[in-house]
Amino acid sequence: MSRSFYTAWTWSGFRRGSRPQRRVAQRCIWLLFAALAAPAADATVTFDEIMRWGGDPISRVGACGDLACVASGNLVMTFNIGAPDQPLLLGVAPILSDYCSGVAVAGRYAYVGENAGTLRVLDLADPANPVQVYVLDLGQPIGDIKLVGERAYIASTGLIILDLSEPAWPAVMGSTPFELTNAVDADGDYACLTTSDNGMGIVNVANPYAPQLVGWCADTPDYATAVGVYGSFAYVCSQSFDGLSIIDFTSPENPVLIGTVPSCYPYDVEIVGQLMFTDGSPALAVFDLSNPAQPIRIGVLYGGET
Amino acid sequence: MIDVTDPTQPVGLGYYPVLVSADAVALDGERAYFLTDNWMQILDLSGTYPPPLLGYLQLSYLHGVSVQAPLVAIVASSYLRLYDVSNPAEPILRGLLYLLDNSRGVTLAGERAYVWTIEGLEIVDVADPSAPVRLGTFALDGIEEVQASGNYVYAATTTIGLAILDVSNPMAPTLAGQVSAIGTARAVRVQPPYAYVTGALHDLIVVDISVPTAPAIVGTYDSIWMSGRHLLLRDPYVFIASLSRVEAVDVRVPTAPTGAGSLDAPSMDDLAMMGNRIVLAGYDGLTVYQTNLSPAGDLNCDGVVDFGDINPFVLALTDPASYESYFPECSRYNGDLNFDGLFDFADINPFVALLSGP
Repeated sequence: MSRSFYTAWTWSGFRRGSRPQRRVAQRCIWLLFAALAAPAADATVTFDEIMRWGGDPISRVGACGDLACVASGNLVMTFNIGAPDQPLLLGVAPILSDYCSGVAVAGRYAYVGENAGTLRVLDLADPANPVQVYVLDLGQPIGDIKLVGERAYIASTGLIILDLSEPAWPAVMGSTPFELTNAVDADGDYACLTTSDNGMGIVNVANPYAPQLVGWCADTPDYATAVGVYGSFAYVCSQSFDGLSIIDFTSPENPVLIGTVPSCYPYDVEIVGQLMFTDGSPALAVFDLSNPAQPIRIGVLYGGET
Repeated sequence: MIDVTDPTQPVGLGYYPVLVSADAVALDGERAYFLTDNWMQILDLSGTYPPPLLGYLQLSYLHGVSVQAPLVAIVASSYLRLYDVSNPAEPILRGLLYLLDNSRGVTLAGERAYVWTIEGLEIVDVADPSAPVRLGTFALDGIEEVQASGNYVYAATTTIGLAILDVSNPMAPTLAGQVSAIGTARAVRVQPPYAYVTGALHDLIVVDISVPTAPAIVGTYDSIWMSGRHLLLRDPYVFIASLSRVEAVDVRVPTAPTGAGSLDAPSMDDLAMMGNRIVLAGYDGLTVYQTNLSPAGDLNCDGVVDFGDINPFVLALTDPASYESYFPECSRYNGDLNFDGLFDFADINPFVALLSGP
């Protein structure tokens, strides 16, 4: 390219340049402006994730009054269940980093346990915006959580008892290590804990600062999933058995498997007053525990597995 | 929720279905209809998180959903079910038609529903949703997806590639043309004069359908990563989706489609375009992605939606050729404001609402 072409790009050069040189420069400038003014074509489509929802089944549920807490994937979801025919999703907290193994709600606080051993406390004062207010690392797995009064019983590598007198800041009262457990329930001075494949332990919790493993029943079927305690009787759900196992621990040191409740395929059990509720298939079965050694099924709701 | 006030007679009260996985999605504006194993869930995707659940239906063996508000067509097992979702909290079953075979999918187009089954295509008149009438059938094995355009239905098949059916007489549909050279076809999208197909031989095949009786392959595109399963059309791009990836392909030059961006996505079973957002449905629930395409309603492609888009909107609707000459870098499908994949008169009201909204 000639030197005179370059000189045409300066104003003095432009004026001094020949007509063809000026014409070339004008055309180049016009093209430059045209290129700048023209809308740019989208050379590449970009993608930015702005929402993700669902993908995980419900792992655990806890409820108190009109409020329910549901764990699903990494989320803790809050529901208003005041109108039970239309549960209303209020809010979510994407706080879980491991599989949720227990949810319990008391008053304005929810206690959410992760399998890896983290207990999270959520303030539900504004249930549409659940806020994590405290995290307690127990340093050992959490299998289940049960609240009784101002105590939380945690199935772990044995039993851990938490003091909830300051509900936002639970503190360990005592523990008794023995085996990896996955379900817990308590009534009075005793708590029962199940293992996956090695039976059920009985812990004296009269002194929560020094709980003592006092008895063991090795006769429960494998793959226990839940336990309910009523007086000196425990009811164990097991995936390897299509029913409930009934354990009499009137003598806590010598618990005895005294019978079964067959053909109810339970996954979970909850005892309220003198009634025992199991879920699974059928969806819900209700038992009268007037005679705790022989629960009588008094109600059932079909509708598939839950 | 179960009422156990009388423990001898527990009564189910209510339910909240959590979106565990989604097999299919259809959109009506920012209202999304997701199919799962046993549910259709209606979610509001306007931006609130978590997305509000507007309503749901419990059904079994769901295979396909199509929306033409307020009508929703669902095929489940061997039934075509037509629902009025004017009130999404309480979808009302308007009509039911027993199909000749097990269903695989459905698409609504005007007053017709095109249902593909394991044995072929069924054309159903849904002008009166309370009394759907089967107009005609066409035996065709291996239909994977169907799209209707004008008097033709374009079917992606595993048996004869792309099949073009003349449905001008719905009582007696005929095979007008086919492109069997493309082998197994999984999905098809149509924007005359081209049909876009994804299949086993190529991730994207551009077919000139100017003459439906003599369709001709004019271009192909292949990526190293996948076999395409789904397609989206957002002129000038076609989005090809496999199980875990979405790729944008620029089809401005139909003879030489070129890659224009990609996304490694969660596992997916279906996807849909919501303006300039992409909604994925799959094993991981739903995921929404924002793209850098012009926002829905931006017909002059100045980046905003305002009164300056009114004239281009009218022009695009009434004279697409002139629109393309005036706005060569802009897609008239920016006007697809009900997100049904078409730009037509049904988009006028949503456009007015968009301009007059807050």
